[in-house]
Amino acid sequence: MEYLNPQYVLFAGILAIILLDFLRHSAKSDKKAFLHYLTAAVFGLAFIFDILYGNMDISLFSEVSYSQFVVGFMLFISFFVYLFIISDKNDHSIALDISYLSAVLGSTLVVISSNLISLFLSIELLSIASYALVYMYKSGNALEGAVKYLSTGIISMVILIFGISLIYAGAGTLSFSSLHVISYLPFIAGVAIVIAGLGFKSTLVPFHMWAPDTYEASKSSVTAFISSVSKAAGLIAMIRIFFFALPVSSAFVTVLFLSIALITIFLSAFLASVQDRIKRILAYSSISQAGFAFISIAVLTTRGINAAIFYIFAFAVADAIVFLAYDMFENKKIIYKKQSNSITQVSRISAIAFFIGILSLAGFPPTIGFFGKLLIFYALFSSGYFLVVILTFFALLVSTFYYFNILSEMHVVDKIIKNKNKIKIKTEQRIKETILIILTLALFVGVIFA
Amino acid sequence: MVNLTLLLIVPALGILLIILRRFYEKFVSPEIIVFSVMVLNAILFGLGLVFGFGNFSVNINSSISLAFSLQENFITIPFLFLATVVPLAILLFAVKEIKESKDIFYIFYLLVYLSVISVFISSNLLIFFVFWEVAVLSLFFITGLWGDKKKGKKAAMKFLVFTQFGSLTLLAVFILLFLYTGSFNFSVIASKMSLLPSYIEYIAFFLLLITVMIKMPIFPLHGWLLDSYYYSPSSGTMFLSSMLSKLGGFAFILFGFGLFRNVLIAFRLPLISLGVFTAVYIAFTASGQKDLKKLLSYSSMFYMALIFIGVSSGVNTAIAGSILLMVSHAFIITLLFGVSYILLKRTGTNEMESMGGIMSKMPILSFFLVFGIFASLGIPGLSNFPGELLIFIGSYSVAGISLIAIFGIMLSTNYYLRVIKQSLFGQLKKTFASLKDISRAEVITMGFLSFFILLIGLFPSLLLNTLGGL
Repeated sequence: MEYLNPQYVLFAGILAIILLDFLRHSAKSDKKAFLHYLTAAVFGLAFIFDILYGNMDISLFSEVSYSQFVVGFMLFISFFVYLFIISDKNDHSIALDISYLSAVLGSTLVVISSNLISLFLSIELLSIASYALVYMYKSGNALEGAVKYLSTGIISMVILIFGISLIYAGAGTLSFSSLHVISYLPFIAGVAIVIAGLGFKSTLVPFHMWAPDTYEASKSSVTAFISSVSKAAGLIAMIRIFFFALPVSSAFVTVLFLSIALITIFLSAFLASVQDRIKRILAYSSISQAGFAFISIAVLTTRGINAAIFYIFAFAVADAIVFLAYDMFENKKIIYKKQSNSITQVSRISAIAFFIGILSLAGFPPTIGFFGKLLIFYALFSSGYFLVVILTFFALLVSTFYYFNILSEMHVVDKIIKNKNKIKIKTEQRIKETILIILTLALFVGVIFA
Repeated sequence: MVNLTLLLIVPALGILLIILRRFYEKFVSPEIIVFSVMVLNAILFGLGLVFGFGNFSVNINSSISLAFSLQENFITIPFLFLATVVPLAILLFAVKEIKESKDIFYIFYLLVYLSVISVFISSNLLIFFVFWEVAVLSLFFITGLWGDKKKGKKAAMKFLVFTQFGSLTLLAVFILLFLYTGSFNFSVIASKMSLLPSYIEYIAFFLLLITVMIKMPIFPLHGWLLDSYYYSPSSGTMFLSSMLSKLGGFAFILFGFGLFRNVLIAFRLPLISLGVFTAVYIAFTASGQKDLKKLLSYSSMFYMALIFIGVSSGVNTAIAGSILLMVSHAFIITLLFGVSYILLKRTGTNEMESMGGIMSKMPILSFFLVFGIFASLGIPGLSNFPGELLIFIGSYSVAGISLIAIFGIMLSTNYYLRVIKQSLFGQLKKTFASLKDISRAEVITMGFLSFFILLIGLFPSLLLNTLGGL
């Protein structure tokens, strides 16, 4: 039973697919579909094992209280995003399966890393696979997006490893469980630099500038993965380091964290309000969601961490839904929010899913976005940050404005109402709609995990 | 025993029937479904009054104390009466006005209906909040999609952003309560209020006050009122004025008086002064209006200011009066907005100066307009009188300043009489020579509303006796 963990399954899956692909080439067959199904099966198996047996627990990796839940929802979302990607008619190369599986493996390893080195390697695994994913679908400016992602990614990795080395200089160890004896100066510098390094991954202002460009350049279904699972991994890494590993609960750190979070929330809200392209608005909204999760990490209490984890789950599901639904819009060439005439061609279910996803991002009940915000406010209140909560209210008002602005400018609701066209629906679209329905249901059922 | 869930299951089934209507499109129109749902619910409510209501509770997530629990509280019955009866009358105007995408409109209609009822009976504050927001969202869509073609969307957005701020502050109050009592259940919180430190009580009360002042609305926070009332479809305006504003009053009584009574009593004088100022200010504003719908919107706010005075005096008499006034005002304002809608449809204008002499052509409509205006003015025997009387008796006993609001009533007498004079009396304009009086369905609806106005006016004790805890 010891080896029946999702990480082993994913790893074995990657190896098996590489091997089978090699055999396939020697046999000169071009049946790729089988390998796609195998990848899907690997995800399913990993998900089941996560529920049944929990995660890997060896020297560099150890389970924590939340890892089963986090890995579970990561696998859940990435499974459906994967199905969505391969349900497109395009001829997908096997590189997709391998890099996608590696990215997911990287993000699940981030969750359970118990050493700075293993954490760094896991993030690196996730990042390298993501660069490939962004460039894999060569649309107009995929190259630009991928290069931006790659260069900022490499810089952030360098910064991260520099910070880690400073921490090592201060503490003499990299294991989370023994990072207690510290010599102060290099340590604090190391902490600050680690924030910067991880801030790139989880798109916190001022390390966010790559996100809108990369999100816009890559295919929307890939963006759905990057903005949900990959960003969740970055935020979970923050939790892992700053709450479990480092004894950093000083006033200075709290103020630093809170100001980063508030700046992220406000700046992204205002920048989102002035955008014209839907995908950029969604990108900025995704940045603002990261800010909300981070504000809850910033209080550095157990309550705050629990709230942050639930909120990460909530926004990851909702982000995946809006980007996947937007992928179906994008196929009908809806790019600017004022293009109201094309909206009549999209399917009704994708419009409904987009609508509910936006509601959840904006924090309206009864979706889990609301319960996530509830828990965050609760955590902030119980640590006594009344003013911060009032400030976030104003940011929420701005975000309510731009979210509903998208809905009304795009005439999404009109689309839901006036469905007169009777286009023949293909199976491909049916599958996509089913995926959206399942994810949307998760937005309501997810409340039991709060 | 009538279980309270039945009151929610019936409209929820109605929504489901409308969603599935594409399978039997030819047989039933959505209006009939909505009508039968509401009649059935009203019957259930009547049965409940006789046999008593049963509570209901299902635990969903115990770590955040989320449970779907329904229970009566000390002021539920009058509000439930309002929420089950008034929408029956609103339906007629919706039928007349809404011609496009009816199915979705009636889904939103039933959602407002359902969520207002649930707010009145839910005892878990999270469920309360969920339905509070659903009501706001549904009205956002009703205003934005079926309202004025040009300005409806902007008005809806203004409404949403304003009320969303109020909702967030209400959420903050709930979280503060949860923080110190460890529960979202209203009765548990009420029994543990002593655990709250006094400064938290003050913070929570002021957050609640913001919510109430936006929702009712009261003077500095009423900026959304005119746009959303004016550019909504008339059924939306009726919902806003008769139901949504009452949610504010309900929350003020339930939490402000029910939980934070000490703070309410400590701040009684400034709050009453604010209410008085709002009342007089808004009476002056309404006096300057030339458009009937705008005038009615402001006058609706005037009565909410009186209710605000009543509740913030913190005296049982005045609070009973406020509840009575809220119920009666819901009926009266629906009647008056109905008349204004019919006038708009028949004459093509809501400007009072361009009407005139309509009495001779439309005697029945004129009767209802005069009836509504007299009821509004608090003529004894009609429903506003007992409420206003109780409010002034109660609040005078603690703060004499409240009597200044009577000056506002004098002002409203002035502008209401101007409405009668300009639109009903005088020379009939030639363009109106072919006006027809109101149809039978309209007479029945108006008569239905007038019946309740008269009933509450003559027998206010019917409602007052249900207020057990006051």
